[in-house]
Order: sequence, then C-alpha cells, then structure tokens
Amino acid sequence: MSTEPILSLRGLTVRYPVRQGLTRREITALHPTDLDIHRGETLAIVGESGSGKTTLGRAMLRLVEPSGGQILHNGTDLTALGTRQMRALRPRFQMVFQDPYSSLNPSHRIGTMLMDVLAHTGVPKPDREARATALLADVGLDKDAMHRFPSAFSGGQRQRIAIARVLASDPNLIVADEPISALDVSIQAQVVNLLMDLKRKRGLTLVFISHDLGMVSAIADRTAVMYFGEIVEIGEAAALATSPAHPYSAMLLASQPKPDVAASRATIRAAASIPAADLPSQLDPPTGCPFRSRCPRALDRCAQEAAGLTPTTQGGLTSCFNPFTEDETPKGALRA
Amino acid sequence: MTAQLLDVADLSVAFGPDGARLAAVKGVSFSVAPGEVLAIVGESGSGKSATAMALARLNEGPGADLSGRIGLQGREVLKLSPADLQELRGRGIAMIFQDAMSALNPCETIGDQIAEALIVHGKATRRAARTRAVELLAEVGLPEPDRRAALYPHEISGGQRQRAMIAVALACDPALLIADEPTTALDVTVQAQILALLTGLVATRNMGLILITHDLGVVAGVADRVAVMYAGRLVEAAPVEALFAAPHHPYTRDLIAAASAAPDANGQLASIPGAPPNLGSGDTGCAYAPRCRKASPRCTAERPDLAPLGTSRVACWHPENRP
Repeated sequence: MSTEPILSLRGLTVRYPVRQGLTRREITALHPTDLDIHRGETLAIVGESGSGKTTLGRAMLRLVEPSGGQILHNGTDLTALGTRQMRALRPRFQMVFQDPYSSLNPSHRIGTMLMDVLAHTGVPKPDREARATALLADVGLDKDAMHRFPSAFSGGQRQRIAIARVLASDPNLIVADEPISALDVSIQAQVVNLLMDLKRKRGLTLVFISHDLGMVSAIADRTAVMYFGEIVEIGEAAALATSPAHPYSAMLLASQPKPDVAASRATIRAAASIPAADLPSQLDPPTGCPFRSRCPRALDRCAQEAAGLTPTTQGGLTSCFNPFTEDETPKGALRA
Repeated sequence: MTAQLLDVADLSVAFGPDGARLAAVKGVSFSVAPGEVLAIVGESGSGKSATAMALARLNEGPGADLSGRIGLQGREVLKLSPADLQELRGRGIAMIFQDAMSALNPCETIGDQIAEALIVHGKATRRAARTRAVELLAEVGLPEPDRRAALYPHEISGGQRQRAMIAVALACDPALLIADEPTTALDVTVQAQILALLTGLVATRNMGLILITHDLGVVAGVADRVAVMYAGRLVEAAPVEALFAAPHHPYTRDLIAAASAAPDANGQLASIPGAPPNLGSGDTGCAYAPRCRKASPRCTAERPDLAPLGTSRVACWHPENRP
C-alpha cells in the first residue's frame, strides 16, 4: 500500500433540493465528510437505507455533483475539473451497480458492450475482439457470450458481465454499490470471490458498499459505518466487527440474524424489547447526535452537541460521547 | 403428532400454454400445526412462492394448473367452490408480501383498509370495524394507532407499512398466515423487530405461520420446522435444530456454509459453483447433482425421493451426517 491515497475527500457534501408545496428546501444527504481511500485497499461502506452510503459512493466519482468540498486525486481537485477533463479520467474510476437487470442495455450484445468501452479507451479495432473475449474469461464466462443479449443470462452472470465491462477501461478504483444484494444466496459468494480475486490480480482499489456489516467484515480491510448522512465509525474491518465502538455499529451487528438457532433467536428476542423507532426526518434534523433517539447509551449531552470523529480504544475513529471500549464488547458482535 | 392445521400432499404447480406446461412445483408434501412456524427456504425459481400462492389458490387460472391435495382444517382447498374459496381467504388463510408499498392501496388510509377486510368478510359493522382497526394497529405495535389509522401508506416508514400490512392480514383472525419474504426489503434493525412481532403473534393467537424466505439467518431465528426447496422439489425437511446442527442434503449444508460468510485460509468465501437449473430443464436424476460435490453417476441417472432419516426427511442418495 503506497502512502498517497488514491482519493482524498475533504469536506465532501451533497445536498438535494426538495419541494414541499410551494416552498423549496434542501436536505443534506451527505454531511461534510473527510475520507482517504488508500491505494490497493478494500474499503467497505455500510449503513441502512437513507444513511447516505450510495450518495457517498457516487459523489466520490462525481456521479452526483457534490454541493461542497474537494475530491483530491494526485494533487488535483476533481470537483474543479471541466466535463472534458473529467471524462478523460473516468476510465480510471468505475462503478458496479446493484441491479444487473437494469445496468446492462437489453438491446446490446455483450460483445458490443465490451468493445464500445474498449474503443472509448483507445484500444485499436483489430485487438478489441480478443480483448473482450479475454475479459469474459477473466470473469468466468465463455466466449459464446459475445454474441448474446443480456436476457440470455442469469443475475449472477449479468453481474459478471457488468464487472467485465468495468474492467474493460482498466480502472484503478472500482466502487461497487451493493453488487450482490440482487443475487441469490448461492451466487453471492461467487461474485464476491470474483471481485476480490480480480482486485488482487490487478492491484485495484475497491470501495464496497453494503448493508451487511457481518459479510463485509470478512472481505474488507477497513469499514466505514454511516448513519443519517455521515460516517459515525471507521476502522480496521475485523476489529470493528469484533469490537464496535459506536452503539449504532453494535446495533447493526446485533440485529443481523445469523444461521445459528440459539444466536438468531437471541437476536429476535432482543429486538422485541427495543421500541419501534425510525430514522429521524431529513427535513427536520435533530440537534446533537442523530442516533440518540434509538441509542441505549445516550447521555444528556448527546441532545445538545454532535461528537465529531475522535479516536477509539480499538484504533479507529467514532463520533460518540459514550462509545463501547475495547474491553466491553457489546452483545451480538462477531467472535474474534 | 398434534392435529394438523394444514396438510399438503403431492402439490404440483405448472405454468404455461396448454400442451407446453412447465412444472414450477413438483409434488411437495408438508404440514403445519396450529402455533407452528414452517419456513420454506429456497432461491429464486425454487418454487417456494408458487407453493405459497397455491395454498390460497392465488396463482390458479388459465395457463396455470394446481394439482395434489391441500387440506386446511379438514377442508379440501382445491375442491372449494368460488364462494367457499372467498370465505377461506381472509379467515382461513391470509397472506403478507415482501413489498408493503405495492400490497397496500395507496389511495386509502391504513385504517380504512383494515376496516374493509372486516366489512367484506362480514366480521363487523362499519362503526365497529373502525374501532377494531385501531386495536389491530396497536396489536402489531404501531405507535399512536389512533392517529396512524388516518394516514396513507406513503406517510409512514417501510417498517410501519409492514406492520400495517400484517394488521390487514390479521383482521379476520386467520388460522394460517403465509408471509412471503416479509422482511427482505427492510433494514436489519427493522427486520429483527418485524420477526419478533410475527413470532409473538403466532404464540398469542395460536396461528400457523408459513414463512417463505431465502435467508437462513431468519429461518434459524423464527422457524420450528424447515422445508428446503430446490428446482421445484422439497430436498430436505427437518426440525430447525436438526437442520442447522446436522444438515443431511449437500445443498442445505452448502447454503448454511454460504450464509455464515466466513472466509477460508485463502480469504475465499464459501460459495456454491454453477447456478440453479432453468424451469423446464430435464428431470432425470437429482437437480442439484451438477453443483454437488458428492454427486455420483447414480445421482444423474435416478432421482432420489424424499425418505426419512432420523428426525428429518431428505431426498439424496448420499446424505451427510447419517445418525
């Protein structure tokens, strides 16, 4: 892992306009975020729907336009680049989307799709077909696939095709947004293993967005947990899963039913005692910590001020006034 | 064995034009007792949802055949007249779905939708139905049920919508509730709460629950017994403890390994090679054989039937964990 991050986010912010009747207002989907993405790492971004994880993943590639802050890459601020300059950099930064049924054009043959990307990145015409075939082989598909349409493939195969298309532009960084959520259980691990394998072979940097904290802790180097538009905890993946510091990270781990009868029953029994609570409203954000309404460890102070990211005893960062320390591993955390 | 609430024997479901029917469900048999949770586990295309829909004859019609025997509280569901079938739906069997947003009527308040179920089935007068609707919303744990009864589905969160849909299903006190992937669209923290609600309702109402899911974590937490489906057939049926402690079918074992998401020494997650077969692909031998590490020539030549093994039933020539 070289020293300079591939991307450095500095105060990256995304606000979306919303209209309520006649009034126009803004909601903050991503609060000012600082994050370094190191070369060659797998960084997992985890959170529930509405946590801002997809917005963060897209904003770091300028697929949604940031409302503020900087994205630094080799000393250049990507947010300051013009369309043409940004387009020249796009092949380096690629994205795999959740739904391989809508991310592939149904009226294009797989070969056409791949060769279009190769043409775009300057591969000479006579070489394109061989390169496309090689890409398909890399993702475990036969060269027959070249002449077929997406409808001929299953979900898992389509996601492999989407990955091949991403690799066609020879990227340095791939942001994969819930790449396995739409797939069957027996296929999910295949696709994760493929991504990790390609990442190792090609020295890629991978940002893996997921709602499953348990699963990503098995594959990521670092994990960032998001809640209500901000990172509430970030740290080494295995440490975060075995000894989370933020009560929200602990709740996520404890709520995931595991394929073990005693553990899963305990999870559901524990959930019965927690009052039903929802994410606070983006239109009417609470003061202090946004998690305090659901937090079993909330202090009076949490209602008044936001904690901001500070170092934890586990070696990561968390924004909490009353975090779990390394010695008091909460119930439901994964065994080391 | 206690008296069964539901007794399904040799149920088959086939779809498609006359003369070219494709079998989605091929002769499954299972039963559910009052107060019992049966989980039906499978991947997409395994026939788990087609099985569940068939129990209330929701997927019957031109281009779809149901055959076999479905006994509910001593009545033969597949032989009921349209009027009796209407009576059965709601009171006998109620169903909840994955996506509450599309299952609920967006133009009607939550309270009206529950009241409608009561009025249609003649369980209450208009006035009494309103009161009962609020009681039901309280039973499913919706805070401030009085106020929420007057809200439309889009005005409440996903977890609350799921609770509201459960309240609609409970309106006529069904003997059997079928829940088709009820928590798949929900966040994990909300999922755990909805599962806690469902298990609580099964206990207090002594209702049977069939839970259709692909998530073995959910199965472990909720089910009493489990039926594993693959390519339209039951491949293993077992009490939940036995299934997780000693799975007999290689598919069950592989699914459990995949669900535990523990990487091996090379950092690889346990995965199952290949993909499930397409509907209508050949039917000789075991459907899992092409993906199975224990497959022998016999597996591709001859199809194993579901046979008792310990407390389980399993369809495999080379079952694991023999007692």
